[in-house]
Amino acid sequence: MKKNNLRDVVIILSILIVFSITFNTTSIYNWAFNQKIGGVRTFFLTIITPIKNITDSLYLSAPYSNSRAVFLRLTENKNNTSIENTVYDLTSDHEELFSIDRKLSILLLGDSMMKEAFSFMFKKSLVEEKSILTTTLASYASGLSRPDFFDWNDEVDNIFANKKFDTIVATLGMNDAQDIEYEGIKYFLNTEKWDSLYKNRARNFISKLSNNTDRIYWIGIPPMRDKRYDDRMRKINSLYMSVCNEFENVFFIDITPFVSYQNKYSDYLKINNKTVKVRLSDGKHLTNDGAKLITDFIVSLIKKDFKFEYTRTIFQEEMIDIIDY
Amino acid sequence: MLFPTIEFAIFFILIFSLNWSTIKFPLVRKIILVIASYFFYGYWDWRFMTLLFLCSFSNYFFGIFIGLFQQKNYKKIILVISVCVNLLILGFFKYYGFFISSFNNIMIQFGLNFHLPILNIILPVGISFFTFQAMSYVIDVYRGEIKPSKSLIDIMLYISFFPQLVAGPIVRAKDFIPQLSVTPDYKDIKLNSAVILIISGLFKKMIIANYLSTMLVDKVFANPLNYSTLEVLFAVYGYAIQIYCDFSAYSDIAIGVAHLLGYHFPKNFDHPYRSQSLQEFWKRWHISLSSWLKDYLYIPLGGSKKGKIRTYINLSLTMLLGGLWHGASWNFIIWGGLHGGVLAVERFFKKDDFHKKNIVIIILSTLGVFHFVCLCWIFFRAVTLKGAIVYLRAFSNIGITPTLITPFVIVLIICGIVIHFIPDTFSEKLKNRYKKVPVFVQGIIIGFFFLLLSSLSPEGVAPFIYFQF
Repeated sequence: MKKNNLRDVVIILSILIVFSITFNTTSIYNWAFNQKIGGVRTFFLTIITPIKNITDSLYLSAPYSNSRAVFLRLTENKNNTSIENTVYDLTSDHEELFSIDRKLSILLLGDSMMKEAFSFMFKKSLVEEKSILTTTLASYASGLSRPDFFDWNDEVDNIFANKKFDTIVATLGMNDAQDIEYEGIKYFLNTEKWDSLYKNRARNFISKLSNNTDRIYWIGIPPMRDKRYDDRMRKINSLYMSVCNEFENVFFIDITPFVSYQNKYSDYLKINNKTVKVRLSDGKHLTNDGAKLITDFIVSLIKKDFKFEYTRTIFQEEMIDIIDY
Repeated sequence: MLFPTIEFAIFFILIFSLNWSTIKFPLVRKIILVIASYFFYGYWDWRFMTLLFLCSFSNYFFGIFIGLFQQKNYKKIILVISVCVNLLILGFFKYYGFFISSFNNIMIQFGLNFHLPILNIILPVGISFFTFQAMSYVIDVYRGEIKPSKSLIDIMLYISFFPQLVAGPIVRAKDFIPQLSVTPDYKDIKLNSAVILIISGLFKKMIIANYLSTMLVDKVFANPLNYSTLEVLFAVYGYAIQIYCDFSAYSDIAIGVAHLLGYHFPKNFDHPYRSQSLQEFWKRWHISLSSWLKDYLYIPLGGSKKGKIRTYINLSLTMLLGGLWHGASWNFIIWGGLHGGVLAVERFFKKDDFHKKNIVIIILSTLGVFHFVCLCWIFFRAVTLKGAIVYLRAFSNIGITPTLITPFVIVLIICGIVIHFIPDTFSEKLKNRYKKVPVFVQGIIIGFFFLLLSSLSPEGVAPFIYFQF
């Protein structure tokens, strides 16, 4: 029986390295590009970029790219109804016409995700919209697990006592993957009792919102870089999805397809042939570009679900934030 | 770092080079491998490198002390202390929260206002694997199957060796430690086996397991009531294939990588879904764990030598604890209990010969075992017990139109099943043909395979399922 020695292994490894560098430069380049900004990234990009340029000019990456494109096309699930279509199927029962005189009032409610990227990008997208007025009620590190820290129920009671909103865009949950202390008992994360308790809290909260507005768009939590944290967030997401389904005027928007690659966490996405950074370096929050993908979608839903009389004036209307933590 | 990543490729090329370039200096080579293994582990979480070291250090000394004493009683005392220490480490990190929350829930049920404090404990990656491996060393020394090692480096390398550190196979001390005192032969490297194992492992993980997970299994298990009966059923089949491909892939790659470094691990999977009985299934699935449980738990409990009733109890208890090993959750206990129960029933009704003769009975037995294992996988995969029950209810979702069963998903499931039924003779013929091909041509074939795998695999790599254990 023929024996293989070290020389054989070295030959095979060398051929493999040459193959990878020649035909698989795109994959190596993408890997280097997606590293954290620093010396390692710079080092590998310095080496691989000129090689990629050469292999691209010689079309050596074509087998990799073409086979991948063909494979993804063949394996695409054509049955999947896009989120956009699913929501568009819902008929709007709003007869009221919103205008400059009768603005559509939107409450943007949530934790740091809402406070940072979402509210900023909503405002940016709506800056030209004279018939829409946004109010932001957002607090860092808040959620439903720790009412002792920030009591969302009290906050919404206060705001609804003074103002009515036509629609609410909300997101919570990112800070809730922790044990809950309730009436002197500690409920541990990843137990059925915790799930049940949290789900009830979500239900009560969303019920309160539902009774005080015409429509709620509940933004789900995106995938996270850290596997354990991601598992917890997916669980919380599924709880929210389940609760939202209990209310006719609450729509859960799963944003995973918007800001992930094949439903997995990705710092960057290719959009219109451009690499866009969609997640911040903490592996949790969205960048403004990432948030824009979602806010644009929600704004389009709002414009579909509500009727607007569009008039243009030369004056900019003010968008007032009543409460901003 | 995960196996099918560029980081690991760079890491491995470096360690491979250092390993063979220091072949004439065994101690230096072993120290390099230990440092590499600790780096590999620290890449996950550097905080637990100390735990790994303490585990190795303590078990090294337990082995020394057992070797020092002549009287069996003293040896036994040290053995008991070492097993308790290892189980304490495992119990604290893995089961503290589970037992405390269960205890506190019982207090609530009885209306008692007393509860034990909970700590936010992070589970170190691979703790179930390396503590079992450490126990294996001390028990083997106690039994006289190996001599206590005088080299701390050898014990550190045995417990932390990076190919099998985080997800097995659980390598026995008597199989691996003797290899450490022999310099690997650079003229006889199991290259062909390594290549076939690594490529098949990458295919199983990157293509079959990853796509089944994202396209079918994760979606259905997250919200089973939203999917049709067919999707619920296919998701169970999909998960059976996913977990097999995921776990066996890791083992295959670990064994292949170890081959390339000059070490030999036993195989960990042997086409488990072709089993005709549950007993056979456990001789083919996660062989290193099932044999560990047999040798260090089932047999010390008495095995089948203390009468029928005791045999059934021992079987059930072993499998219950085997289930608990996988995770601190009632789901895993139920999973283990189901397997233990059916194993006991099989033992009650039969004979040891599990190879049937009649083709119809062979097919029915194989299908029956496969479907029972799939039923148990529901408890294994569901996040909570309630989730498992909801999943079982979802089998009655008749009116919903399936949207996830695409031709590609069906092909993946079929591939996963067909892998089990490729005749061994065919595999051998293929391997022998491959071995005759010149090395340079082998390199080109492997290059093409890697390129194909890379172009077809999803972006980003999901961690291996067994990392959570």
